[in-house]
Amino acid sequence: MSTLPNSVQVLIELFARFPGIGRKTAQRLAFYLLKAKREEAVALAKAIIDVKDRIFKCSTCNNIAEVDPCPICTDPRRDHSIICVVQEPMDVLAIEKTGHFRGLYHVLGGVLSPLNGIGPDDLNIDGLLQRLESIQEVILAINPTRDGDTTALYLSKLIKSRNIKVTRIAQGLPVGIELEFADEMTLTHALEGRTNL
Amino acid sequence: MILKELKLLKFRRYSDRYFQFNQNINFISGINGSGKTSVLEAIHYLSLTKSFRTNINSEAINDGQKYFQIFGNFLNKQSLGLLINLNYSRTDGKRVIVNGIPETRVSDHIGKIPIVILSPDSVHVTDGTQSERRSFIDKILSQAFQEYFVNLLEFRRRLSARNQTLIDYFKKGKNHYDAFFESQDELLVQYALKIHTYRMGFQREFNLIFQDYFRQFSHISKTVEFRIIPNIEADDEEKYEGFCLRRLKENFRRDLISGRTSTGPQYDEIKIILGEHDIKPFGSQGEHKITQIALIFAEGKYLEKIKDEPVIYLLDDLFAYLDARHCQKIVDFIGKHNQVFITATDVKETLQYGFEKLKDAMVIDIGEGKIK
Repeated sequence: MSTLPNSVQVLIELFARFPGIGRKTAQRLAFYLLKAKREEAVALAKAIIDVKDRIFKCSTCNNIAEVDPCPICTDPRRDHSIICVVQEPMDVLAIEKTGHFRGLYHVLGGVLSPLNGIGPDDLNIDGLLQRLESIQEVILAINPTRDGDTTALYLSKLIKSRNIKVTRIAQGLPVGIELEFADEMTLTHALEGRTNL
Repeated sequence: MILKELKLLKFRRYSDRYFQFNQNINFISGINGSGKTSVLEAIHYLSLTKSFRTNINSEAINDGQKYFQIFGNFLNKQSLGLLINLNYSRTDGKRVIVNGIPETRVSDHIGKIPIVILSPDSVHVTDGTQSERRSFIDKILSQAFQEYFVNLLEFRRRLSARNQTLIDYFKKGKNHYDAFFESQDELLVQYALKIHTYRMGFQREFNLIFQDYFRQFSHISKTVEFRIIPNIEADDEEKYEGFCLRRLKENFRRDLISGRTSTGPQYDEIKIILGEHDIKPFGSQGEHKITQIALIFAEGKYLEKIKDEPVIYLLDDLFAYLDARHCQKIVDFIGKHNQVFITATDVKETLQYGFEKLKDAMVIDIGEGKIK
């Protein structure tokens, strides 16, 4: 390592901090940039700066956006009586890709996780409660994890107390999977959540 | 289950050592500090993926090394081989590989090699703290039922999350039992109920086996009972969750101050009743020992019944524990059906007891590195 010029070392060091990037991959990325054309590197640098300067959170739904309120919150073609609650902005992207949801979103910014020091005050829950006035249904699209389950139950209690319908997305088998490869927990959930035909 | 071969690399005091075992009785002999118990510890690792001597895995690494490896070649009732390899390294942690395939979860492995251990620490079932007694049942049920083990882990994680919330609320001066606690508790009691149900079922079945062994081993004419006194008393299991939730709510203020959840199966009590009294304060030394031995064998029998596979017995320093006559009776008794590993300080002393007369016994002298 010490034989590398300092600027390359710094670049590798910074890449290695990215999620899912190990030391080796960080080195490959750095060397890729060394070989790449100057314009490409500049474009990357600019994109990074733009993301930090121009992107902020929508004051209504807490999703990332360049304008406030975000295009989804202001879109008149969307159903404004239904909100889908997700953990992170990436989850909005995932659900949008399905093309099957035309309501609004609300990004919590995480899940309740006492062991990681995250309590109700640390999430964007008040923001959600303030939006409930003309809402008919809240869909909880929260990951089926330990903390996710607690969060979903907690939110459902708060929302139900205002006489609004609360649903949670189904848990069970992924499409195209063979039963024998599913783990016991998933199969148990799938059995519990079976539907009438 | 039978352990045919064992190989230890950089484990405890062994830098590289290979053992072959007998399918019945194996005496592991050697002077103090020669590494007898380490052999049992290695087998314990292969079965339960952890030590019975320490919670810190790195303590088991040979001085100055970065990792240890344990290889075990097992044979089950159907004569199918099971090659288990457990690696632990300071940097990458623990990995268990069975017949070349890595186990993805610890819970998938526990129970594959059913074992029962008698060690100076495991005797606390009769005279130890409640937590030591609970770990006796947890260890058996976790080996017997994967679902119990998974539930227990989940329950513990949820419990520590609740305790952390208590501490956070106390710091912030919040003192209302709110929707956040309600949500945590509703999920917590689901796991509590599963643990409770398993433990009660275990009590019923285990008692019959335990009482039978107690009668065989002792001349004590008193009756004996392994009794679980659940923290939440509910005459039927449907009511359990409701009772538990109510108590969690009632004790909330108290829990807030202590920062600990005082309701649930983590406070189930275990008592061994001899005659009419709790053995802990009232039992004699001899009664304690006989009871402990009967418990250990009942544990083995119970596991065998559930797993439909002979268990391996690990008896650490049995001779320091019981007199020779009792030892011989016991070893003879189990050695016919099960593989047994017994550590003893001195091989001569062991033979003096007349164990060499036992058929199918093998003496492994670690101190001099010879195998008889």
